[in-house]
Amino acid sequence: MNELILKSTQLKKRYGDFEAVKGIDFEIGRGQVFSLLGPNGAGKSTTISMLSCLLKPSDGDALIDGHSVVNNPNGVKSVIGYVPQDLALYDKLTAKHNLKFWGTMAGMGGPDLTKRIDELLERVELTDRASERVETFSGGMKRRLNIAVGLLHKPKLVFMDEPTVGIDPQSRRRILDMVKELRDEGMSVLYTTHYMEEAEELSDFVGIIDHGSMIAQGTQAELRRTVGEQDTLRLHFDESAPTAALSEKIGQLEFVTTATANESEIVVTVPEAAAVLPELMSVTAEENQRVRSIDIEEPNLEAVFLHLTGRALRE
Amino acid sequence: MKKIIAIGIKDLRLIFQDRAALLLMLLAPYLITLGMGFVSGAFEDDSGSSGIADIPVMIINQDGGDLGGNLVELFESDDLAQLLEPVEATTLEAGKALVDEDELAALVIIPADFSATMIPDQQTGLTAEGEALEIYRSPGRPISASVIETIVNQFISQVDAGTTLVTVSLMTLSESGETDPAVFEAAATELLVAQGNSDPLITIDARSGSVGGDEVEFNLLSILAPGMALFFLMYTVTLGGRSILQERIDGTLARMQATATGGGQILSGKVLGIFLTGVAQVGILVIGSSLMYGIEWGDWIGVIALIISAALAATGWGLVVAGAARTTEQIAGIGTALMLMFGAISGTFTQIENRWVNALGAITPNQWALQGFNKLGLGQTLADVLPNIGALWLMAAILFAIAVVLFRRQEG
Repeated sequence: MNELILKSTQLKKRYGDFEAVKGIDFEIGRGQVFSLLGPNGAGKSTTISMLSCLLKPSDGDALIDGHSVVNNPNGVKSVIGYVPQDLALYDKLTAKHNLKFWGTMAGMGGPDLTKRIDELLERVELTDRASERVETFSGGMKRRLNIAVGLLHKPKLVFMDEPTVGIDPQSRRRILDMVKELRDEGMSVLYTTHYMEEAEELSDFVGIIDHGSMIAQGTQAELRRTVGEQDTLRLHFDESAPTAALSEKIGQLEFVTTATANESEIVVTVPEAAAVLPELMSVTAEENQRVRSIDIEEPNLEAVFLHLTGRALRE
Repeated sequence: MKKIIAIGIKDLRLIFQDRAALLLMLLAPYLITLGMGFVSGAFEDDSGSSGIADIPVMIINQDGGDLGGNLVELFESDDLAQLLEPVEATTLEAGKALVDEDELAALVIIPADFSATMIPDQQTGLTAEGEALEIYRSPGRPISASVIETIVNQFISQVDAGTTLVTVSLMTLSESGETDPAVFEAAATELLVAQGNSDPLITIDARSGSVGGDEVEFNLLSILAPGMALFFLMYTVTLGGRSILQERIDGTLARMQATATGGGQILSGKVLGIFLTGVAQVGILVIGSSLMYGIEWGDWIGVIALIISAALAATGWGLVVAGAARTTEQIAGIGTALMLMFGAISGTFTQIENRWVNALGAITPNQWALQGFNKLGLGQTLADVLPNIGALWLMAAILFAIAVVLFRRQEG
């Protein structure tokens, strides 16, 4: 992993007898996107609130760019950007006035702030609506402005708490692209979502959180391997192809878990399809059989979550 | 400081973007003042029977001394000839009957020992116990009765000032070795009368405003308008207090806390916002009523100082309400109740002749500020309203301290 921007150690939050977050350990490298994936009420927002110094941890600590959330909250706040799940904007003010106010709160001012506001309005495609009141904006526009506010002071680490909830597909696409752009620019992002496909698209690392516990974390491939899920390859041949003999030969390969002939199709399960595909193609070529088409079915994070918890992610 | 100002300006901007709030903050006080002005005849000329001119009043002077006579002379003076219409004194019972029948706006009863109680004892320097001067008011003419009460109150306050002068003079006489009681009494009476003669005991400027082309003497709206401005000031500060909880609900408070901005800075900014809004509201009402209704508010320095002080004390109440409530609905409910109660006990709508109610009125910014505005309207200056300003600042300090405790409890 790259140099760490965040290291959480046994972070806990208790409310009386109820333990909302039960000792979470995870790390984020600089320039990486870490997605916290979990159903509603899993503890994602509580975790972000502790990391943003809005809630004091009951136990444990986290270091962000070397600052402790317990002992140096102001140090932490100076390097993080916070994009809350609920829109935290002033509806009666214009987009520009909102950005100016939040920029001042972030310690900015003068020409630097003006320049940064113009940059961000352009980035979130709101330049032409800058002087209009936020109350006139669509949900997607408000979401984009909400993100822009969190980026004003060029934070090293941005917390985005379910930033795409309840918006149109076009705005959602824009936000996901923006997160990738931020990562490419070297910004680290902690992204919480209960949309599995968003986590799959954006994440360098994924943490799966449920009932306040981090039940699994790693790269997406690692997670799939952790739970023993396999990729499935469906190789389609001509109807005359000797698929039974061919599947037996494929089944003997070291990296293949199972291979089954099914009429003109051979179904192969492997740990990671992309890694073994060239080898499979060379075997079929050796047998002078032409593969007409290939379907790859990778187990997704939804399947991983189901495997780990026995429940679907959105139950 | 930059962040505190930014929060304050932001809140001011938000309030002035809220049309519903503006209606209540600015339009309602104008309209109610205007309505009360029409009802009370403030826009009628001298011939109007229910107007501020020619207030029928009877004075029963039971005082054997000079001060009672001075007060009667004042009521019959040329300065107040257009404002008042003194009715020839008969008996106490007959006077009260006329008030009960609404033939008189008020009956002023000067007690027998009025002058004597004003002259300090030559040994102790203290004034004697005695009956208080009484104003028997007509419930049907609250505004006219209030005008009479204002005149009497100012007379008494000037007599009080004279009394202090006499006390000091007698002490000087005593220190010089004089011991004859007759000399003391003569000197005291002479001093009081001399003071009363050299410096008129009351001055009411017979100023006029122009409304619809009609000349209006002693503009009644100058009594109504400050009351309304202060009444709706309480609405504004409650609205400001509500914004503290609203920011929590909307998540903007959490977002502020997620920046490197301290809790104290955030609260100070909110306080500044409420205060600025209050100042802006009363300021706009003062300027607007001057232009629209021709009200003369008096010494502008005093007016500005009073506006600032009243807004500060009212802000204190707004913060206490916000600190005590758990929901915005609670704030709205408590705020409205407080606004109405303060309006009632502070004499905004009508004077209530009950010393307990009047004493309770002292906890309201309305009463202190209203008294101050009335003084300024009657020609007094900043120096005369300093006690009112002091009381408002003291109130603000106490309320701010309470609010801090309440907010800490909320955070805990």
